[in-house]
Amino acid sequence: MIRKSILFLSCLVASPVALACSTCMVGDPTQSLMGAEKPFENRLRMSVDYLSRSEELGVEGFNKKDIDENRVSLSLAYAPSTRWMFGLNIPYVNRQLESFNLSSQEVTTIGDITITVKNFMQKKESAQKHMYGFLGGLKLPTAEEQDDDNGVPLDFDVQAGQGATVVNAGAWYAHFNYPYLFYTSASYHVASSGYQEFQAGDALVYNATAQYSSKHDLAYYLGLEGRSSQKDTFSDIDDEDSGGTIVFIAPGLIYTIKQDLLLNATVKFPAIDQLNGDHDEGTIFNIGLTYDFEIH
Amino acid sequence: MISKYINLIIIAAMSVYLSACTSSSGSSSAGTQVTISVAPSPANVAAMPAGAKTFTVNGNEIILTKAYLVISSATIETDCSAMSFRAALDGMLDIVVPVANAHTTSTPTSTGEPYVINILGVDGGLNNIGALSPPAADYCGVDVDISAADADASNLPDAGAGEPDMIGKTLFIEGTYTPAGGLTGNILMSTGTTLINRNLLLSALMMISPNNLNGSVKIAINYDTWFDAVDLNILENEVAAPTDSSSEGYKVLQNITNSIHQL
Repeated sequence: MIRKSILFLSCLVASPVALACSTCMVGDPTQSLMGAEKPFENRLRMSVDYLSRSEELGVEGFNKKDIDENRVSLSLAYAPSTRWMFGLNIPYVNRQLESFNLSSQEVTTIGDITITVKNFMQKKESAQKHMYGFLGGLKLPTAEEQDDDNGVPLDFDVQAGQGATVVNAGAWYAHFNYPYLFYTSASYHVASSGYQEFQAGDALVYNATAQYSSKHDLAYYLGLEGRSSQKDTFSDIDDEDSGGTIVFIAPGLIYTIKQDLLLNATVKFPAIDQLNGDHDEGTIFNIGLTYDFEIH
Repeated sequence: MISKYINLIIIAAMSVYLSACTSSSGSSSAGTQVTISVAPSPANVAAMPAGAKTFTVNGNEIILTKAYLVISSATIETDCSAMSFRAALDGMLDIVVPVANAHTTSTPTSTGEPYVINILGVDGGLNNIGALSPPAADYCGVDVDISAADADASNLPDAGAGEPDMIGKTLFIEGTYTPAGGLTGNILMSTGTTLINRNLLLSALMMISPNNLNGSVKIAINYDTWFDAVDLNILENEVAAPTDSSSEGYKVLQNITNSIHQL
């Protein structure tokens, strides 16, 4: 069971948090700590993840914004059969924005809830070395737009969500060969218009991860997670500091605390930064717990 | 058995999490603010109330009945080492540029909207020409640009009420001069000439920091120096453009630039 759990968790190499911020994302949108495991009928898994990240936008002394984000996400995944896995991710988000002129804004609220689905198309239903299928997701605009004391909406970049519905679809592949695992996926994201006449550019999100389990209760992994996106627009005007490509290198580990209870930790370093304009994303820190429920 | 307890704990934790998620908050705090204000302020005579300004220059009693000057932008500076600052500027000959300049772009350190100063306002009465929200820094100077107003300029006089139409103009002066024992003559100047910018060193560093978010820059216009060393009789009848460096009008524009000081 431990071995199987580690195997499952290895698939989260791509960030357990699919949509790390209101305007950007990396990782596999179906992945939560439990999102990529091999399903068996009536399997239910829950995870709690903490994520910390930062971002810089704009020009120093002119329009620069520093954004710090902390979020805790509760995720559930349920497999009604061996062919389907459905997931639910509920983030609780704190975002702080400091501008070049020392003004600051802060938002703490529930973020955009994401529903994911993943199917398993390999011939045999039981566990096997090669697994693959399609994946998809729907991010709902559940994060309320936050206002200041005068009722004026806070800066878009400090909002916990973007006020848009985002649909994504893609495919995944996993190769299990204990003690090694390889997982890759890609998905394309399209968003409706959001708050403040914001329109997120379409995005292609992709990842590839390799894992090695040194012991049955401990595994290490190293992944690449990338995002290539079009420019966002505000009121149909391109945001020059948006879009482009960024790829993170993401080492991490998974440790089995006890049967069915796993700890994972990941650090994501920006490795390739070809984001447009004046836009930098910092290192992402992520730690989480996953637990398997037994439903009879 | 243990598994059952863990399930209960996790369900409880999940409930707490979902409860916490129902609360939300948004807050903001103001950033830096620097106000730029300008006031008419005589250098050699006592302050006067709003209305016609009377003062004496070289034995001529001058009465200004209308006087407007356009400040097109003011920019606070962190580097005042450039030679263009006040000491150097005072000696410059090219005080005017014969090109009209309209709206500029507002930046965190610069006002971008032209403001028409009514020199006949109460002396010392500050006109707030703009509020900036600059980055934290030590500011040592302010660069004042003087050029023609456009239709979006602030504080435009009411041209239909006997006041001059300042759109396209940098300066408008109307008044009289009376030499001692002589006949009264007229003063009338109207130009859209862009004056060379006036760089002022602040008397003390304006330090904007997290502990000091606010600042102000107050600028005085010593209008009673505008006609220093100007032959008013020649000025009255002058046909040469004020951009002609040999003209009396040129001297007036030069005096106007030099009349701008920190209050």
